[in-house]
Amino acid sequence: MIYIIGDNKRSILLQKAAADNGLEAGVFGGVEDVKGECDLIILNTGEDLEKRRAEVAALAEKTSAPIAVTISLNYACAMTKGAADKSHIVAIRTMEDECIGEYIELTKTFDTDEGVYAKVLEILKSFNDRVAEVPDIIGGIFYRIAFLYSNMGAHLVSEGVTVVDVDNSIRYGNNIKRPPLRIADEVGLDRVLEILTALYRETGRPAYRPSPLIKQLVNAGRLGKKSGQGFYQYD
Amino acid sequence: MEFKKIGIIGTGLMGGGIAQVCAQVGYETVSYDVNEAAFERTQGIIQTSMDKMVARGKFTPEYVTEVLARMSYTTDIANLSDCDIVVEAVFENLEIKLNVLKQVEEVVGEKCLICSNTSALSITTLGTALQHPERFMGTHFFSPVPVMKLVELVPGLETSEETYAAVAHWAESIKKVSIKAPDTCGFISNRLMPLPQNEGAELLALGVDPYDIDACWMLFNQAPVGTLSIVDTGGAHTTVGCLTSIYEGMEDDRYRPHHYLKQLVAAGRLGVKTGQGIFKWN
Ligand SMILES: NC(=O)c1ccc[n+]([C@@H]2O[C@H](COP(=O)([O-])OP(=O)(O)OC[C@H]3O[C@@H](n4cnc5c(N)ncnc54)[C@H](O)[C@@H]3O)[C@@H](O)[C@H]2O)c1
Repeated sequence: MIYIIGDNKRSILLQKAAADNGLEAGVFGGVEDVKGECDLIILNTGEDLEKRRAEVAALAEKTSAPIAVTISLNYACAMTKGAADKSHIVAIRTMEDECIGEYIELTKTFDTDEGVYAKVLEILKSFNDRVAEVPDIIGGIFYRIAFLYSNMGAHLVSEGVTVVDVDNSIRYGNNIKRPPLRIADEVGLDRVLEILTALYRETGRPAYRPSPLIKQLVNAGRLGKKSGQGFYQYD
Repeated sequence: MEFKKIGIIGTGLMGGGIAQVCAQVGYETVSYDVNEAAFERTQGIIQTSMDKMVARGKFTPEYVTEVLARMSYTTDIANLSDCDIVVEAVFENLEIKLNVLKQVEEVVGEKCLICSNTSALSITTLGTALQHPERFMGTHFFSPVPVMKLVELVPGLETSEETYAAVAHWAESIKKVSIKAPDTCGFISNRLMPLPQNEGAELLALGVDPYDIDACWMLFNQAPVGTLSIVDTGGAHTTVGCLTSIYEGMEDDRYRPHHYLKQLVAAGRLGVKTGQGIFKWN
């Protein structure tokens, strides 16, 4: 039995991927819903670090089952602060809400027990096509590579290149089906900016320095598809 | 402006491909090279490429015969004299390109447009070879030319609007998707391509598995190949070269080549052709 805590889209997609592979999984609202034995608890609640630390600590107190905490722009180690027993805690990372069941990242902390890690790895492998074992680095693999084209593409737009030409250069020069400015609009420019800002702050690598154009668009409320306008216009 | 005859300078990988796509839509082509051996080699590549299309039922053998009949080869630059447009695709070397551009302007008519397929040299700088730089611009094709649909059209500082419009029209006639690129190091595509490769190298240095990086890249972008596999296809030296030219040419620190890539070059792990790069190849 897998407990997935956090009533949101990603939890439902995780549950579906598990169910499709014959695993029993349930989505629950909060830590208090965890009762009885289980093989894995996935803690997939919001982004508020303090709140999540408290949840992790409460869970770790309550059960000795492996706990996988979803993270995006944080360190796995940051999630265990406050937990009395950190040995059965790991972190997992998905591509926002995309490709769930196809790809997931798994990260251990300094304190994760090897046996627990191996067990979580095995469970994840049973309902994900690929489990990337990633060291505890900001953004993991996914966030570090996903928006580099979008950021530079925005910079090129500032230099006078059209939005369509940026996307066409990737579509027809690399045969990539999801071009970067379209993806950024779909993910939401506010989220893209948050991702780039966190990566730049933490790694200092200039490729993540957010393009001023993305900042301007976010300030103007042009957040992409969800607001009707971003790099493209939507109706 | 109607084009009939296209001249191509340099009959290598790119020059041959450009001539092929022109002949396929009905243009007459004249391929010029200083090295006669280039003709046979390139004709072989063109033949193979067209045979594949016949095998797939896309072309008929009669069509292939017609296309090949439209293509001619010469070691005398004077035979480009009646071309409507000439595309330069010689070695990526500023001096050689300046020289050959000067020579071609001496033989072609005053209405003839002149283009360069340079990957990284400044179009404005190349235009200084000409008496009439307003008729000159960049047309950056992608390899293999018959397969890749993209062409970057790069006006230099002196390129006229008429030239740009006529070349864009020609690009459309050879069934390419054209995009307008600024005359900067790397234009558009080469300023995008190496960034995930360089940050991928940072991930490798931190102990991440390259197969995971490529899998993640392909899934999220719906890409046919991984970003690190592309490094190995051309060799890390090509990636480092591309990064360095932009890093130095534009003083843009986003392109500082990652030390992991430099180590691959130092170790001679140049990817597919050496059997080992980021990945092992057999
Ligand atoms: N290979 C690629 O993937 C690629 C992609 C885009 C652009 N380019 C650019 O296209 C150009 C050609 O590249 P390539 O890969 O076809 O090179 P190549 O080496 O395959 O062919 C170059 C040809 O030019 C000929 N040549 C050299 N000097 C000459 C001269 N003075 N006059 C006439 N012919 C001469 C050579 O004999 C050779 O046949 C370069 O500028 C390159 O940067 C290459």
